[in-house]
Amino acid sequence: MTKMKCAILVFFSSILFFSPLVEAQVSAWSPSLDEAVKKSRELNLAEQRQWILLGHYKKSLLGLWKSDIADKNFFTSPEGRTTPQAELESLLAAIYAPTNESDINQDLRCRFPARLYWIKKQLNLQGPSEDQDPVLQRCAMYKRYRAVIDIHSLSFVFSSYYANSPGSAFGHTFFRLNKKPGPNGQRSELLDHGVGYAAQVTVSNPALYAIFGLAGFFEGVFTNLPYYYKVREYNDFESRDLWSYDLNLTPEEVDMVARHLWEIGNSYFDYYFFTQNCAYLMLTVIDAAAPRYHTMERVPYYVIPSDSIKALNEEPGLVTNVTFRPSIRSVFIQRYNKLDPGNQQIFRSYMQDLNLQTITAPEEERRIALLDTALDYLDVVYPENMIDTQSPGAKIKNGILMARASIPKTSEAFSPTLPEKERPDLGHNSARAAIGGGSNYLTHQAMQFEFRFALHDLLDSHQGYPEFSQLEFFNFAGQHDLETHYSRLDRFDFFRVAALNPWSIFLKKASWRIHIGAIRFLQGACETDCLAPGLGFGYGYSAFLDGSQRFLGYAMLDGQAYADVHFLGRPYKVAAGPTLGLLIKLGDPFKWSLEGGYLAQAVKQQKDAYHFSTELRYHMARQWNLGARYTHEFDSDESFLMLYRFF
Amino acid sequence: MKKIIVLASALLSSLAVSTSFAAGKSASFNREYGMAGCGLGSVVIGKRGAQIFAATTNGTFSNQLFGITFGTLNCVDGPTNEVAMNMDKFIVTNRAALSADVAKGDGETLNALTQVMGCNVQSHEMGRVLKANYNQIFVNDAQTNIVTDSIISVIMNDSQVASQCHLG
Repeated sequence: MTKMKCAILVFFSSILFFSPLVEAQVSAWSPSLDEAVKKSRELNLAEQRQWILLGHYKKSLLGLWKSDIADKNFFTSPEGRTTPQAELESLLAAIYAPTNESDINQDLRCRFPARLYWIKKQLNLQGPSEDQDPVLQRCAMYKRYRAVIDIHSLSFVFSSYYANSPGSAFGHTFFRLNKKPGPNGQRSELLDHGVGYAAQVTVSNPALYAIFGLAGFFEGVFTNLPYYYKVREYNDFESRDLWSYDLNLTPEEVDMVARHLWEIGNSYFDYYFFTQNCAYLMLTVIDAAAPRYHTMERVPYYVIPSDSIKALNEEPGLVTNVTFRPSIRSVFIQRYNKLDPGNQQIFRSYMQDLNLQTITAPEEERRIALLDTALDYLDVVYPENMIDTQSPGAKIKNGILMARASIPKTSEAFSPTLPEKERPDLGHNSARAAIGGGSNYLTHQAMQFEFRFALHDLLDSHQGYPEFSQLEFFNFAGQHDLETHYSRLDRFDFFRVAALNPWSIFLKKASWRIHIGAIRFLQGACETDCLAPGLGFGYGYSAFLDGSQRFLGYAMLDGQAYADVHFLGRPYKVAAGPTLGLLIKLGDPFKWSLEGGYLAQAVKQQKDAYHFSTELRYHMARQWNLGARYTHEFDSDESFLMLYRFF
Repeated sequence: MKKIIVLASALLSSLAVSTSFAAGKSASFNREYGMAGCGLGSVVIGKRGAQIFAATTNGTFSNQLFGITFGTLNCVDGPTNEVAMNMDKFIVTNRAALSADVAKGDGETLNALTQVMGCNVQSHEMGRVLKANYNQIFVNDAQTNIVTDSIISVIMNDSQVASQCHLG
């Protein structure tokens, strides 16, 4: 508190000439508006990086400016969205304008404190300081906002991947505005504020959702809620880990973050899933408030949330500390692992019957440990408890709560360990390209080319990614036959998602996978061969086959449907059959997969067939992988050696 | 802040009507606002359906709403004891975690509540008092405001903690 105020006072007293008697009708600011405008043109202020950032302007290919902010209320000049200079001059005039007495909160000085502060500073305008400004002091809503957030520092929060929701499959990012410690140094992160940016989703149909999202039909808006909403929503209700990156900002920059969020917080943007999304917006706010950083230049044109934390990490000196807030599931598993073997056995029985009577341990300490573990477990299996005190799960939990409350001893604080292996900012980059050579299905020498926009497959290094999940978007694979000189597209995945959920006492969930795209089928199915659009779906179970959890086996029932006029017999292909697979961790830099199955065809002219594939992947470096793969389908084989590069 | 709490505690004794605590002090505030539509449910239920953050998207997202939606979502502010109101807002979203902390006697959520209440005590001190009265506070179907009032009553009846909270 003192530190920040001091910085502002020192700054102002060094540049300002104070005139204590300010007449209401005459502007308190000098030099005059005309001179200030002239000076702004001389200095070419509107082209300065921070002005561009504060207005969220971007230059088009034709060299024209346009702001990402679609809300015309953000601009005070009618040309403001496309002409940074017009907006600057229009806002500059607001400094000299009479106060909006009909609604003080609508006064431009109350609505746009960030850009006005910047203009005054750049032009060295002489007038009252922020603390003394007769208009700013009357901005009730802005002042209330500042008092409520009480910002002291800024953290960037990443919530881990969540495959159950289409919009969150890539993770999500938001800010935590950290409050100043209280007079006795007390602080609670839960009472800080979380500022998030998300699309206002107006459709429930998943296909429309995707189209609207990609086309920018949703409006993106900011929300400002106590951080405990985020913790309850992500950590507890959705069981997602939260990673916080504390940012190195000066008090002046932190102030600018608060002012800037206020300005844009009430505006809407056009929301594009892969470009103008939460991650992109968060980075622009950091750069706008602290232009010495260039985080936006460190992300690709298409930004997905995990790209943004990698960008923060790469920006020298920006991230000072990384903290981890485990999901309720992580907490439960850690707590369970701390139980002694006898207690673990009791707890496993409890998980079968959820009967309070099962928790019997003569020693108080052990009983406490069991009851505390049960509380976390019930939150994992009954997340609806958190929003409904009358749910069936809540009744079960009540019994545990009362039993725990009846033992007077206080539980020891639970401090989770930060799992370095899961740090998302240390993971491989999002996009991947690959080149390889080998022998194709005609046993010709061939080159293989691949490009994947995002994000992760089961053989990539799982540093920073969920270990048994696959999420691929816009994945292209093509081949060039070196003997026939014929090039072709082999596969296009619009998306391919898989979640292998190893069956355990903690997690009794099925495994599944889904794929939408186009695949090339060989002669067994087609007249020659054909690239057919369609979809595939698999459902089954997976489990570790050994105690050290290096062998994950899975069994699925796969179904697929594709359409192409060249299919034998009918212009479509519908098939189903069982698949068995094995994913092996051979030690840290190696992963190996084996999969085989049988597909029975609905159209009798098409051939039922076995298929088999295997790949050994070596993680040479964070962004480089080597792979050796072999596939067998319709009596033909392919084998390739691949080099993968993430970027 | 202190002033408000002192003022509130004066108000509090005049407002106290019902007594579920036979001999001790008890709190019960009038609330001219509803908690329906508040809390975590308003965030996550919408997420399952068509609308994310349904509560904040009602009507237009008008200028300046960004600053004043803090923590309230659909909760409507009304004139009441300020501490009780802040506790209501906190508890409606954190009830599950808070009840677990109280049953255990300490924890992060309990620490946050201690700060919301403006009590200058360690959270385990607060936990000791609330834990002993767990069954009175977290009655199965108690509305949020009843939980709040019960907590305040329990604290008022513990002279040691109450003296650090300025609740009366």
